[in-house]
Amino acid sequence: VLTDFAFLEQKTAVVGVDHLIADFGAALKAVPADHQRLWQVLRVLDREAHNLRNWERAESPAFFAQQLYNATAALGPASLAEEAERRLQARLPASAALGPQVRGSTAGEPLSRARRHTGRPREGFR
Amino acid sequence: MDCMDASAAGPGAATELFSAALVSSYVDDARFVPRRWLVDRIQTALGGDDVRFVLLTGEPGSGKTAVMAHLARLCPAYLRYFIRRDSMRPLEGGDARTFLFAAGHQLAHLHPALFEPGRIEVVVTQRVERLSPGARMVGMEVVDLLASPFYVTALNVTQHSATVEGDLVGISAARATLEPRLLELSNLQYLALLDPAEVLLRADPGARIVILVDGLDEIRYGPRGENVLPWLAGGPEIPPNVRFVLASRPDADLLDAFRRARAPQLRELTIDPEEPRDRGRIRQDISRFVAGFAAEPAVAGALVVAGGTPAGFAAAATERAHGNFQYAVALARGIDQAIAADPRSADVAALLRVEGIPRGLSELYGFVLARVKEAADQAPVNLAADPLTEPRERPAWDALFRPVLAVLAVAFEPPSAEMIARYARVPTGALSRAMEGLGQFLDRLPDSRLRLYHATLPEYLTGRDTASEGPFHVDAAAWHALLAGRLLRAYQDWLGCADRYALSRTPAHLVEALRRRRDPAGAAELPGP
Repeated sequence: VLTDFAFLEQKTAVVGVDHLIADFGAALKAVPADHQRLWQVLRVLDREAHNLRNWERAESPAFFAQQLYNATAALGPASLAEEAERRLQARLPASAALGPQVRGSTAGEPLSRARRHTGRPREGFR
Repeated sequence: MDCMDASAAGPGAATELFSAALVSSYVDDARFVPRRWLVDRIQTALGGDDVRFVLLTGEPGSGKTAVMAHLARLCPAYLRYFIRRDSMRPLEGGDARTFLFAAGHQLAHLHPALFEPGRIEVVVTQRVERLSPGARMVGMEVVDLLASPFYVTALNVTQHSATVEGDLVGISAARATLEPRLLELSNLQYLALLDPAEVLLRADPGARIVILVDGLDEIRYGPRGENVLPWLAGGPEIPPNVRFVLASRPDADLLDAFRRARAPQLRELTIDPEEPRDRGRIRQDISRFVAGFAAEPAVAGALVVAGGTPAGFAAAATERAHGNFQYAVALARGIDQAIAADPRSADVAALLRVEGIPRGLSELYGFVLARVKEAADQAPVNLAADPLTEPRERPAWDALFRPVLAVLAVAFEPPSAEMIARYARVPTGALSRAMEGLGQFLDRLPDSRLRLYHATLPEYLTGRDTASEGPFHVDAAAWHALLAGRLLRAYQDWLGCADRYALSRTPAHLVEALRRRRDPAGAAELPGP
C-alpha cells in the first residue's frame, strides 16, 4: 500500500504528508532493512515534504503528481515515476502544458526540462 | 506544593490542548471518587527542593489515570500529557517530540510572556547607490536558523539600490529549519521547555512548571527510539523550577533505566493495596465508590427486591475488588446492564449478592463476558459467514459479538458504529444488538465514537489470560491482518477513499500484523505459521 501512488496521493491530501512519512518509519522497522522500494519512496517523500505539507488538492489537483514526477525522475523508483506521469496526464486538461510546478511560481517549462532540473535539492532548506 | 503557585491561569478555551475531555470523563463522572490523600502525597513529594520527578506506579486498574485527571482538574496550570494507544490523532502517542510539542504549546498558552523575547524580530535596512560588478551585499547571513513552533520569528530585510550589477542577497542561510516537524529533539527541548523555564526562573524564581505524564507504560506498544521515557531518562538536566509527575504500571524493564538515571531527583509513590500504610485508604476509596453506587435509586431498588442491603453489598464488593478500582467499576457496569435489562431478575439479585463472582480483574472480565455470551447465544443471528454463502442462523456470540469486540480491541482509534459494522463485517441492522449486549464494556465519546472502557479489557481479550481457542480470545495478529485486508479490498482505488481511518491506519494494521507474527509473544497467539 505504501508504494501505491493513489494511496500516497490520497493520504497526503486527506491526512497529511507527515503522517504518511510516519507510516514509512513504522513499516521500515517491520520489513527487511534492505527493502529498496520503500526506502526510495520515502526518500522522494522526504524531499518533497516541504512542498506537499500545505497542498490543497482543490486548488492544485495535479500538484502532488507533478512534485512526485519531478522527484522520481531523478531519484526513482521508475515505476512510481511512470505512475506519476500517468496521473499527471490524467489530471491536467488536454490543453495545459506539462511543466514543473514549484510552489510560488507558475508552470511554464516543458516536462523534458523538469527531468534535468530535479536532481539537486535546495541546500540548507528541507 | 500548592498547585496554584505556578500560575492562576488555566486552559481557558484551549480545551483540546489540555485534554479537557479526558479529564472531564473521569472527574465529572457522577461516580468519581476523589482520592485526596493521593493528590496530597503527590503534592508533598513535588515540594522537595531536589525533586524533579515524582513517579506514581500502580497495577492496571489501580486508578492512576483518575488521580492524574483529578490533579489536572485541581491544578489548571499544570501541563498534562495523557499517552493513549487509541489516540485520535495519528502522530500523538509516546514519542518525545509529540510530548514536547504538547508541553510547549500548553506552556505558551499559559505563559505567553515566556515565549515572547524581543530578540527574535530582526530588522535590517540597507541602502547603496550602486552595486558594482563583482560586489556582493548581503542583508543577513544566518548560520543556523531554527524557527520556533511556539512563537513568530520575523526576519525583515529591506535593501535599496539604484543600480545592481553585482550580487544583492537579502538573507543567506547555511541552514534553516522552518518546519516544526523537522526540528531535532535536542533543539526542540529547548524551544518548548528548557528556555521558557529559564526565562520563568529569572522572572519569578518561586514559580514552578509542573508536567503530568500519564500512561508511560503505554509506550511499550509504540516504536522504540525517540519516545518520551528515554528522553526523560537521558535528556538534559531538568531546571530547578520544572517538575514531572509520571504515572505508570510497575514495569521494571521499562522503568529501571529511568530510575537509575534520575535516582537523586526521583521520588516514588505507589498505589499498592498490599502496602500496610495504604491498605485501609485504598479499601476506603473503593468502599466509597461501591457505597455511592449502591445508593443510586435503581441499584437501591434492585437491592430491596434482592433482599440485600447497600452496606452488605458494599462490603462484599469492596472485599472482592481487593484494592483494584477498575474491578469495582467493571462490576458496577455489569450490574447497571443487568438492571437495565430487568431489575427484578434472578440475575440481578445474584450479582447484588456478589454470588459466585471471582476475585481478580481478569477473572471478573471472564465471568462477565461469559454471562454476555450466554445471553447472546440464546437467540441466534441470521448472517452469512462470507459473501459467497447464503445467510443462515449462527450463534450470535461468534457471528456478531466477537467480531465487534475484536475490532474494538485492535482498532488504533475509537471507531464509529458504522465503521465497526464495516470492519467487523456485520450488518448494520444486527449491530445494535451487539452494542446493547456489550454496552457495559463501551464508552461512547462525545463524537459518538466508541471504545472499550479500560485498557485492561483489550489486553485481556488479546492476551494470555484468554486461552487461544477460548470464546473470548481475540487473535490480535490475525485481526490486524484481517482489518488491513478488508480495508485494502474495500479501497482498491484509494483516490476514491474518504475513510480517514482507512487512510490513517491501514499501514499500521499491516505493520502490526507483521510485527506480531515475528514477535515470539505474538507468534504464540497464532494458530499456525
